[in-house]
Amino acid sequence: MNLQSRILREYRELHPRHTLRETSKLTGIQLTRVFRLFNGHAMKLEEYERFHRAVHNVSDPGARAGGFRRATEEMARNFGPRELERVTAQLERQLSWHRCLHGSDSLNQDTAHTA
Amino acid sequence: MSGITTVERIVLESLGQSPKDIPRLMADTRLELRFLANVLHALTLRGFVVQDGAGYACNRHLAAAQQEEVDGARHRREEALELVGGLLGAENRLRVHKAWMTEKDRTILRALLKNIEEFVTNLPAPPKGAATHTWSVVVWGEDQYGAVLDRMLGEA
Repeated sequence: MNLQSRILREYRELHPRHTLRETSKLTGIQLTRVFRLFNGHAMKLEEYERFHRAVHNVSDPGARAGGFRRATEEMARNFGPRELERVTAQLERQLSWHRCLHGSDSLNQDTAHTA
Repeated sequence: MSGITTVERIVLESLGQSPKDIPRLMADTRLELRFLANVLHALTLRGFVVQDGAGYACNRHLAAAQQEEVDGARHRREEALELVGGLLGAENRLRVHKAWMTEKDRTILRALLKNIEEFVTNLPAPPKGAATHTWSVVVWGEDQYGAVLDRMLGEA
């Protein structure tokens, strides 16, 4: 599956009931162009980036991390020291994996971005 | 102390056999350059790996806390969980089966598992130059369902 098909499929999974007009509004791509893209016309890089933003909500990192924040806040309020220690260890391990996969710099960028 | 991830551990294990430059490390671990570069950077920053001429080597003078991150019981457990996760990937090479069995059947199963343990622990040393990524990951174990749950609840 190419990148265009994948991003359109992800968009459909995320917004199964969106009309072409709603998709056009969300992505900022013209209605006729959205119709063509869903019918197999080749996507421009800018259009791909717009769909990518719509799917991954990268324009709003705060919203992207909303579920995560809610969960960690709930844990901080309700978990005992032992549970918190275990979750913290797991999160630190995930950060280590992130550094291995994406490099230490990517963490700094993310931190700066969400600050 | 986040410990050592499995991807860092394979690099440490490879360098533990002999110091290596990046191409040899890539061949030995089968890690892509972009991952290997990140791992080496992280391990060097944390002092687990040192530069050795044109290549890299394990730091043989780790502090006790660092040594604990490599082979401490908690971190070995984390490694086991990650390896199990790796076996579970798309191909699912891990088989988990729940079955009622008589005491006799359980005795037979435990004898078979003991055989596996003896087999894997008594395997001959790998031939010189055997790539680290070709080693096998073997997982075995058995306990009663309730005992497994009790252990999980005890840790929760």
